[in-house]
Amino acid sequence: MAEPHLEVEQLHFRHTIAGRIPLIRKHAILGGGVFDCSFSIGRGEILGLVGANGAGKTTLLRLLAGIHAPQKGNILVDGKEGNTIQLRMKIGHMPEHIRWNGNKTLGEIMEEFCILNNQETTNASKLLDLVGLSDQRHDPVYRLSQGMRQRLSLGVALIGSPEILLLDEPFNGLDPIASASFQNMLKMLAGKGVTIIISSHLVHDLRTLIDRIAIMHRGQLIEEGTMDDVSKKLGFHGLYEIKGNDDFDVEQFFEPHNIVEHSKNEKGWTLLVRDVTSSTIQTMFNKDVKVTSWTPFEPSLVDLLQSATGMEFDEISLDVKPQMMVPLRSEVDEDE
Amino acid sequence: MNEKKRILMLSSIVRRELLFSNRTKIMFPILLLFIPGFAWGFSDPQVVLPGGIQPDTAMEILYYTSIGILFSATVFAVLHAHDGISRERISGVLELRLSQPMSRSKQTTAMVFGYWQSSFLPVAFCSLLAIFAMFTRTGLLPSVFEFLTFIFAIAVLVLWYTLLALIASSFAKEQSTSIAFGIGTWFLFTFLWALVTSMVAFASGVAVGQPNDPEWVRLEGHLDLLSPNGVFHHLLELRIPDIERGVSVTMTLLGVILWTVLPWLVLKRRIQHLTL
Repeated sequence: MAEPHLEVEQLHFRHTIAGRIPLIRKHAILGGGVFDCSFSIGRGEILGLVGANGAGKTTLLRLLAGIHAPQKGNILVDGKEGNTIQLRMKIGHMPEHIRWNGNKTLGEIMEEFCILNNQETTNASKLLDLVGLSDQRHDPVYRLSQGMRQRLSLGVALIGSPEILLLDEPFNGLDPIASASFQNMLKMLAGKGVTIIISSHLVHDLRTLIDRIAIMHRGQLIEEGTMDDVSKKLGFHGLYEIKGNDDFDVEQFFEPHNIVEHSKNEKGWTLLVRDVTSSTIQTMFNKDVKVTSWTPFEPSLVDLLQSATGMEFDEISLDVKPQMMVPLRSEVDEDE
Repeated sequence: MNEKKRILMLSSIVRRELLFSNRTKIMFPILLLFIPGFAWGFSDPQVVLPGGIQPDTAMEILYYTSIGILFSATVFAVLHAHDGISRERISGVLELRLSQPMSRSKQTTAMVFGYWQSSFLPVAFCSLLAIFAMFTRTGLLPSVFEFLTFIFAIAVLVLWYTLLALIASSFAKEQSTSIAFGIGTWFLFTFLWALVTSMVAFASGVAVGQPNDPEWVRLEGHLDLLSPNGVFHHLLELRIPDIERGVSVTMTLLGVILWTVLPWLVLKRRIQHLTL
């Protein structure tokens, strides 16, 4: 990894849920949050932050954006710790699902955020141009499509030429073309040295975009590294997915310990195996096994989470209860 | 760009948006009816109010016109500001706003100024029309000091209701709660305060509603300091020598300061500790 641009050390934050007696903090209940989260990312790298709903991705991004104040831990940019305003000057934040509405025009919104960001309002039109909305500058915001709204949110996040860009589920609601164009824009920004953190629950969307991946679960960062490193660590490296029709004797071609999964349905069979070489596939063809495809296995978020947590699919999917959330690894300061 | 300029520019954006909003278009005829309309009515030379009172100076006419201001300007301010925070919180824009490199307290100041201006300017315009209506009918004009007192009282009244509505909005996470808080506050001080006063008087052994009983007048005057509407009236009464309710100028000004500073501090604290 290049010289760390953003370093996060032991970041800790828990939400406070109002208790039975409103406004009395003593009766407040501590909810979910982020627990002892540490990672670093180099300049111009793209980090994919993945996790199920309620894993703590948005909370972590809000901590990095200076919206929540960390209860413990540090956030360092270029090795320096600054105050919240200094941090916000370096960071552009695009929250999930901004429902832009009202009669303000795009130009007015951009100008307002330029003022909030202490930038000249003349930058507004340049940024609208950059996100492809210059023709809509005088349109009221309620007329925008979902894709255009996402672009507007990105445009706002780019005000002040931030060094670090935080994007919370940026591909939500985008059609495949808009999504591809959005990804190209992000690659271009990363090429210019902008460090990007993208939160998503869709690993597939991120695969071609990110340099590093961080997996969150129950408010903790349970794995972090390059896609290859994480795949190796979780046992996905060297796995192949082979699909075909008509049944056959699997153990004729593969050692039993290399067969991870063998499933069948009305369309055919799917095999998840290790140590697949081209000669193995050739042998299968030679023995008239009807192979239709063989590709390196790309784990989904569920596969990653199952492997990283050791939990079953049902356990993970039913696990989203922030108010019940407790850390997996430690129980530091649970009762603070 | 210095901070002061940023605050003024941001507040002008809020003002521009709200001044030409549907809310203003709907409420403006009501303001016209209640402010210049009341002034026109109270300027009638034949008018006799309960107790045989006949307003005969410009400040007295404006004082009675202030009832129309209490009914319309306050609800106008509440309707403008009731969703000032909750609407952006629901839409996600607040999250984006709070992540900008401008301190939350300065953002609060800009927001308060913006909402206040958007409510105060139409009310001030209607108040000028009220003075014009009074002049047309009676030939009376307030002195410069009376005029300044009248406008200042309206300005702070609108500010207090703006602050109260924004505080309510900072607690609410959806529209109906914020409007219920805002209208509830308005209702308490505009309609229910007389009931609160009567209950306190009854509990204190003071005869209720006796305008000639100095005890009742004094108690009502002091309890009015706890209500923004009451402080507004105390401010106007500074220029009407005939009204004496046992509240000194210092106490009135202290009331103005406290009603301005305390809600402002509460709102600032709310925004600084706001979680999404």
